[in-house]
Amino acid sequence: MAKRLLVVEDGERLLRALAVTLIEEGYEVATARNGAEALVSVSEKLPDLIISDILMPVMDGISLARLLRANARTALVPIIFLSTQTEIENSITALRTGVNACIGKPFDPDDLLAAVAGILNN
Amino acid sequence: LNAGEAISVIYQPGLSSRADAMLRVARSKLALILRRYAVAVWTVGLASAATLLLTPLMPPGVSPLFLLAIVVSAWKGGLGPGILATALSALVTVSLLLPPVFTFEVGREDGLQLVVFIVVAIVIGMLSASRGKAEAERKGLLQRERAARIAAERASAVKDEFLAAASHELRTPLTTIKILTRMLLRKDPPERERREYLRDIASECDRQIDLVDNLLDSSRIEAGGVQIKPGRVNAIEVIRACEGSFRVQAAEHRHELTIDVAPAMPLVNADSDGLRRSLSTIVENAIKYTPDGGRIYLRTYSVGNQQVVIEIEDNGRGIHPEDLPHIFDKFYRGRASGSGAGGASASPPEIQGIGLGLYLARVLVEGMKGSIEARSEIGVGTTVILRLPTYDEIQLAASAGRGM
Repeated sequence: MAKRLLVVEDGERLLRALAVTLIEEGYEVATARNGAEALVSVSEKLPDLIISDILMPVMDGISLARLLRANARTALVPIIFLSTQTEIENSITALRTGVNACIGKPFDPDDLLAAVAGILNN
Repeated sequence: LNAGEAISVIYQPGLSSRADAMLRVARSKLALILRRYAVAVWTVGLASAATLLLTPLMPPGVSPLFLLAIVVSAWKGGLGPGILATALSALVTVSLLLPPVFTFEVGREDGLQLVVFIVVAIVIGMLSASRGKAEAERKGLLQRERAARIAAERASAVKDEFLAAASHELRTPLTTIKILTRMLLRKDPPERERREYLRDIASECDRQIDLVDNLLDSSRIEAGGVQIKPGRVNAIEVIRACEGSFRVQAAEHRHELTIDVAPAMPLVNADSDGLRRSLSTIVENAIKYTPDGGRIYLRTYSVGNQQVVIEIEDNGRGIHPEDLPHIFDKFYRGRASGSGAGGASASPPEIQGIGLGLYLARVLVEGMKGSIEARSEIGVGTTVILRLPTYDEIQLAASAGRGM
């Protein structure tokens, strides 16, 4: 069965481009435009992996990751952050919240696909 | 980043009008007077109570003077130290010079006691006054230091936020472009999808160009090199030139756009490119932050032969009252307010950009000796009012200036 991914990104066009790329790789893709929408999506159906932007309106990626980690049902869902902040501190904050990987924008889609495959195969 | 810089980052010069500044001064003066009045009332009240309590211990005829001493030293030295000093001096005087308490007789000793008492009260009162002053100065310095530190911290937070936003706004479209070009290069998508990808790439490129333009312009302003060359400009022509692009954008969001331009208006003192850019920013914001299917109204009128006013009104979600005074500040980005006029539960659109558009609009309009202002109510809409002096008015003012 195809693995289900949740992509959380406020940039509408990037969200669409990511979804198309991942669907072409054979994944089942759900999308959300911020952390709050992501929580709704997760409560409806648990994804196998979450790819999330950090800087978003309403609820940012860090808060989303904290909430997911604090809940027993979602604590183990792997998360990949698409970080826009170049500073290393932010990546460290992200990793402290239990995020599995941080990919800096602008990234090569192949790197993202490799990270997704790597985490899902583990 | 020193405090001065920090404050100038926060308080953009020219942000508040002169009327605002005068109102603020008047308000703080009134507050000061009220505060002094309150202190005076308290001082007299407390001094009276203290005098009543101490009267049995004092030689006759001293209590009015004692009251006076308390009031004076408290007024000069501050409430606490003044009363304490006077009370102490009274106690010391009374206990030293009147060993058998309560057996007063009016005589020469009383005169001596009185003199000693007053001298001691005055000396202590003066000492406490100078201490009070030093204390007040120290407090003032501390307060200023704290205010400067808070301003510096805020400025640094604003800068950090700006860097994060700029990085986000630049990198996100680049990522989209990268992913879409990869798809176009590697796969051979059907014609319809191909066109869609190309359109997305084109709009992300436009967004990048706008951003880079704004960033460069604001750094040029920083360097003091923004060149605005106002001349005789027909505002109607500028609006008409932008109309097509406004209509396309409004149609994308199904907004009803009404452009109500007076048939003839005096020529304004403006830089036509600067005016076009300011106007575009304002109208594009109205389009972007009004829920789809909204109403946007642009109207113009002239005030005598002195001023031309351009108003852009929308029935969008409105600007939060706390954001409203800052929307023309550099790097300021408002919060997304949830209550849309449409009442839909859909989440508000992302607050886009890096907080430079309206700031640049204000700088440009002020460079033309005009002004820009916004009125807004949450859930009702926002009106931005752009006022430009007429060319004749500026010429008149200039010649009056030369005549003086």
